Amino acid sequence: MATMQRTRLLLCVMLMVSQGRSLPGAARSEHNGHETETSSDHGTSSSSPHTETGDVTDSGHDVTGDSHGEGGGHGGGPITTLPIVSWKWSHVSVPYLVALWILVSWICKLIIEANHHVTNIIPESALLICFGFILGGMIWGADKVQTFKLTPTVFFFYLLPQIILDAGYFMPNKLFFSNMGTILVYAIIGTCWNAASVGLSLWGCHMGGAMGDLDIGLLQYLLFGSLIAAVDPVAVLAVFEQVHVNEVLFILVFGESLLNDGVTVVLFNVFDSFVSLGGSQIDAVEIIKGIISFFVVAFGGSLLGMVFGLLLSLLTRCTKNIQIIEAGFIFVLGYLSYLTAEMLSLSAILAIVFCGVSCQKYINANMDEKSVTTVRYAMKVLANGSETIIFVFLGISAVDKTLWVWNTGFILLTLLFIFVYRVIGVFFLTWIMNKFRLVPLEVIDQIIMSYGGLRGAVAYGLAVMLDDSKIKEKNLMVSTTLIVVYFTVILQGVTMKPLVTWLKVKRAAVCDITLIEKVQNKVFDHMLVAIEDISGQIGHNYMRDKWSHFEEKWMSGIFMKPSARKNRDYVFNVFHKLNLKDAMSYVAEGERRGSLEFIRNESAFVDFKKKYGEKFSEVMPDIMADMADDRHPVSPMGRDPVPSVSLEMHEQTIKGVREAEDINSHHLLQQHLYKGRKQHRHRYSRSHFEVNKDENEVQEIFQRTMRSRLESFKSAKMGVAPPKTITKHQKKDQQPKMPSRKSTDKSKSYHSGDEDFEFSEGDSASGYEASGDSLAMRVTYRVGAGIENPAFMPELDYMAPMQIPPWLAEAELDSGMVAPSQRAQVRLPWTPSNLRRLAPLRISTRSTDSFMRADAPTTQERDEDEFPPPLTPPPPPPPPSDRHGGHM
Amino acid sequence: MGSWQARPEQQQQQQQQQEQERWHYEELAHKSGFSTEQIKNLHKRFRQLSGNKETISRANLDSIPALANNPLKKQIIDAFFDKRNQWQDDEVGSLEEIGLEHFLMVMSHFRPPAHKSGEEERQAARRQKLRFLFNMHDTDGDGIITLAEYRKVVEELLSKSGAIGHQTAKAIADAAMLEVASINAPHMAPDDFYEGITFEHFQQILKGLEMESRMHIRFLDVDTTTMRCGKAPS
Repeated sequence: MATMQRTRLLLCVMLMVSQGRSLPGAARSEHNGHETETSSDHGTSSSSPHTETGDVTDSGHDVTGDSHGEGGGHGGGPITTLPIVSWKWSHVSVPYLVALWILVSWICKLIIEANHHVTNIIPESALLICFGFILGGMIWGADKVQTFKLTPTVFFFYLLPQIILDAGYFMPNKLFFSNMGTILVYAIIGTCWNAASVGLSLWGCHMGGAMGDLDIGLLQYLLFGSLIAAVDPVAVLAVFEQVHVNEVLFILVFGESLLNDGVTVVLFNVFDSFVSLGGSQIDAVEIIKGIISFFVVAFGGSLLGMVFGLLLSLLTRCTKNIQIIEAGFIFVLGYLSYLTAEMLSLSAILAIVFCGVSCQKYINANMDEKSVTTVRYAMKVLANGSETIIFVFLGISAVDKTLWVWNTGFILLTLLFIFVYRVIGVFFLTWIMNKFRLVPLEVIDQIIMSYGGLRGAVAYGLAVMLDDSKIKEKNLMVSTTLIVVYFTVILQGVTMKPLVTWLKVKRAAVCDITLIEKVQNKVFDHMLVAIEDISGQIGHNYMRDKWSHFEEKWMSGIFMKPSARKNRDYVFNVFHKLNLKDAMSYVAEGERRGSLEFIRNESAFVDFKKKYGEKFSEVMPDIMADMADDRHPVSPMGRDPVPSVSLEMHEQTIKGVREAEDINSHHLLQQHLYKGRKQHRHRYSRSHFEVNKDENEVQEIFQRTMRSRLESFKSAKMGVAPPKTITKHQKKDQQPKMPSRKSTDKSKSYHSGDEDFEFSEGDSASGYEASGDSLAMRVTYRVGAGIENPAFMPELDYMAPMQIPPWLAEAELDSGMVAPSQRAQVRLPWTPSNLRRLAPLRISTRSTDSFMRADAPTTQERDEDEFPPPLTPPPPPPPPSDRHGGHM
Repeated sequence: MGSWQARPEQQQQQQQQQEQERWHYEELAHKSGFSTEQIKNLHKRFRQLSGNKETISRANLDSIPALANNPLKKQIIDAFFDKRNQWQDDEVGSLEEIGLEHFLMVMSHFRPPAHKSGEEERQAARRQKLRFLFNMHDTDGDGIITLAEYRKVVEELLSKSGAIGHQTAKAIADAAMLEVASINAPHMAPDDFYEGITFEHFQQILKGLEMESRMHIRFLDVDTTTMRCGKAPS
């Protein structure tokens, strides 16, 4: 709160200072005499930009680039002597002001978001508008004229496209297209209905004398109706994103708001030209033309967008060598699609929406993972940033005396009609739609839909674009539009949340993706298609299936890199995401514990690696190949601190055990572990982030993945065919391991912590490594995406005993308590000899451990996010590694 | 003369037959919840599939061309012949051939619920649908989906989606299974192992899944089968 106050104060002060100079500034602005002004500004206070801001931006916004040329003379004026420094405000004024305003609006957002108590009640968009009022008031106070306004050019060309592109790019396609019918009905029929009914009713009231003397004809009313009819995507998104209604409801409102733009633009253009033509000129031909133009504009725009989207997909197929800028293509091409549509007078919004929608799948598959991330973030930055600016400026624009024309009847009636007809339209259309929808919309949903009809900046932009030579009451329309916008965004926005809560609208379930659900979804899809096939009906599922076949067969082939195709399956993506999450949490946990000893016992795996390295390179050379040249980064953790540290730790553990084996192990490590961090060089380069891509490293990580998978499948495997226990002792060892497996699984898992305890007996480090590794590896596991996984090799059964951690098997052999089973013997050659000493220790502690597990099982397993307090005290930190540094 | 007399008789017979059929339909409608119109359509399709016979066999369904690409073809067809899907929970096993009634009963799993159904009915319907799904996975009918069974479904499911390898499919199946195990049996005794997914667990894991749109098919009152006659095997 304090910060908020302070910042506000600061802003006030800044503007107050500038106020002192405001009058001259304003006066000068009339002459537009920047050049002369500059020289006089030399020694004045640094806050002057704020004053000048006014005039310059105005011109800058209205005719962008205009003032650029004007101030381009590097100071201007005849030079008498060489100036050491000179004040060249006009030279930079436009970009400077643009940047400054962006900064100011973002700071507004920062202030607003600093306090969540407020944003929980009042949506951010409303607060931003209020901030706009304040800022506008300051400017007004300073300049006595509103110098900053949201002009249509700026809005439609520089602020809107990225928001819409963002919407298209992140559109949940399946949801969107499966509700397409309903959305289209709302967007087309609903909008037409709103426009016509509002226009006609206002006209009727005018005729009835409800608003006094106004110079507005029927056509102008209809024009006004058409611009005020459309639900605004920006406003809807801003409000609904914070409310979290269920996804179907959201997509209906949001989809409608996006698609009705085509309708609005057409209606607006048609009526605009009708107004120009004058009532007498309009005949059936013109009306038919209007209807045709609707289809052309809407579908042409969508088609154009799709073409651009597909072009973009094609383009990203071959950006492999310019990865550093490939993320930029979507913005450029998206923007181009918008401009092209605008140029052809098609619906630009539809074009850019469909550009985003059609390319998302392909470019996400084609581009490098990092680029995809870049796109996602950059998109959000741009969209959110300009959304903020839009709302702030909507507020600022209001503070303008010249704008306001008050006509109580007109304004109130507009508000009333908008609301009433929206409700009627929604309920009537839904009533019809529900006869066709599989899942009917409930009354509550309909209420929210009608209430969610927010108007926003698009309407305002269109209103400002009206030609005041043709429409006498333009200012009335603009101010009415502004009132409508404020009313809907602020009032309805604020009340939306309580309403949603009060009506108990189904909320979006906030839950983690689970693999099984995704798999089930897929089952559903195929099942429904099959049932439709069998029952001989052509339904949605049938169509969707046909489409996906077509898409699979042709589109993917054309637009997707062959190498990318394997990674794009949805289920697989989920799998991958979960794996990544595991890995992250694993590393986070390891770091949280303040040490990286969880990888200390790596040598346990070395043997594994060695073994598989040899074995699998024969069995499946393609994996190795795949691994070696896999482009995908193995997630930062794979390469970062872990390996380099591990070398040392590792070594020293062993060292503690037995001197003689040190050399062995060192040798082993050197052979099989990738090299440490020293090789990890950053070069300065504009086009590359060079990272260590040591082949060995990749391979090593892969091996570990294999290992973990193998282990984690054990329990599952058990379900099918429990491996025979070979010896008493082994059995004992083996079973305690089970739960740990299980939790690893669960883990899919977040917590490495607890399962560790399950067998962190004695040496908790070892516990870490087991689960930890499994986590770590899952990441990489996907790297091998389509490859065969040794864990599932047919000889899995044979490998079952492998699940007994090597050291355990080894231990038994070693301690001589039990005769080694045949399987154990089979494994013998691969087990590391250098771990022998550790083994007995584990065995001895095992029993206590299982007790502990019995004691506190639930909490451990259940809290996925928080790690339960360790049952065993954390292991003593390993002796300082530098002691053995010499061996490295 | 005989022929003259035969006609009304025949007519009567026909009428009777129609009457019988209508009665039959109504009974089926009562059992399955379809409207008689829908049943008529489905019956038509049934005859089309079976080649105008009283019963339908696996081979009939197998030969539907549209099914050829469906990765779950086998499971779906099996589901039709599964006794458990006849809304009587106690029977296990599969039939060789099914009649119209069985056919309809299986189809009725996919019927959207009546528009104004209570919460309880909705829950029951959901349960039935889940049960159907569960039965589809549980091929041996022992009430538990073992890993092997589950894996099989997932593999087949993913096998058609191109690049996903066999092994990856297996890995996914395993990971999913582990997920189930961890959700349902987070604290097992050390000696236990997770045998497989029971129906209760199955319900538990799919708790969050919205079934309304996912397991419903609009059965039209209007006959669309003619539109695809060319494709149908008969």
